[in-house]
Amino acid sequence: MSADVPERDPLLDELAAAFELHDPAPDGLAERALQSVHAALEADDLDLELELLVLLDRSTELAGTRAGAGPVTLQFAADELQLLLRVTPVDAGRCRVDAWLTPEEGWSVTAVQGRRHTPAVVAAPGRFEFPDLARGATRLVVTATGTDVRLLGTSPFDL
Amino acid sequence: MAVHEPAAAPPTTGAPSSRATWDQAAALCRRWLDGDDVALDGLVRLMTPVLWHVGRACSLSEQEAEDVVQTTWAAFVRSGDRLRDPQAVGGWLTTTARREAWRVSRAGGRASLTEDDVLDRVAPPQASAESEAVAHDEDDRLWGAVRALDQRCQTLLRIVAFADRPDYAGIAADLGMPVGSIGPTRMRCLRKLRALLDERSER
Repeated sequence: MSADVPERDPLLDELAAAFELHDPAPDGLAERALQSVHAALEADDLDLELELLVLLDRSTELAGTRAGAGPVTLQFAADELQLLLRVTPVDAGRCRVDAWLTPEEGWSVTAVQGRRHTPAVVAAPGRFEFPDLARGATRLVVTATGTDVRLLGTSPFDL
Repeated sequence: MAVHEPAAAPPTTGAPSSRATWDQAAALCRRWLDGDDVALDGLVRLMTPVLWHVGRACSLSEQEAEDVVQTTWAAFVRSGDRLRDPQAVGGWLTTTARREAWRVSRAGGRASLTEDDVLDRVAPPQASAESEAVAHDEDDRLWGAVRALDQRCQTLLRIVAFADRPDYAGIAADLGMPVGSIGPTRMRCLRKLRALLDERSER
């Protein structure tokens, strides 16, 4: 669609400046918007108060390798739900994560890193993949498929 | 949560429509997605004036335009973290604001492209200091020409002036115009504006 968009006419920049001069945003509008944004974010944070999947175990698969060099497995659990993660380094800043969930059916999984949400790829019933995630503080949120209701989330952990 | 110190304000220069502004918005969005909350403050400060102009372009009153700005940011907080491409954040924000502005405009029963009401609501040109008379003459000449345009041209040019890559398909749908007519209408409006400017410089 953008292929046939003509070059920007310099007069449009003059126009933008004229609108800025003669009908600018009211004083304080950005600050009022910021207050609303912060209030909304706090509400969103409350929304993230979900039932915790607790980290039960974290282990390096290859004993004797230096930290961060080999695959790491992490095991989380809450009630009947079990989540197993296998983290494989791709390079210094990225990694691959394979996840197994039991019971197998009816879940979708999202990685939350800061404000970035990355949905997992479903590989098979109960098996999810994140082929390329940034390293750093991460939470996985487990949702019943087909709904936006966040049901469970891991405690934050480092990839 | 406390509002962060003004240091979070982006160091913008020039009109908020410049390419640099859009690149800066993308960079701030990327930082926010990576967990830097202060970057969101910068993004809000950077893009709020642009969203204001989108609302005003659609013949909204000042209060209505302010509400559109707030609604747009609320929508961004709800779903901005699902943006696949931070580079598109400017387009996402202005499109969301434009749609909300048209919704408000229609709900108010306004046939916004045929009425000239927005002109009455726009602040009159400010008095100029003697020493700045020449610069202000230029400003006033342009502003006078803008005000002499029909409402459809004013709306279209204001939306396009504050867009990096105008979403012609979306604008056409909102204005109830065929997609193919937006480009020619935009050119016709710019030609009209240039003619009005020429007329005024000959006086």
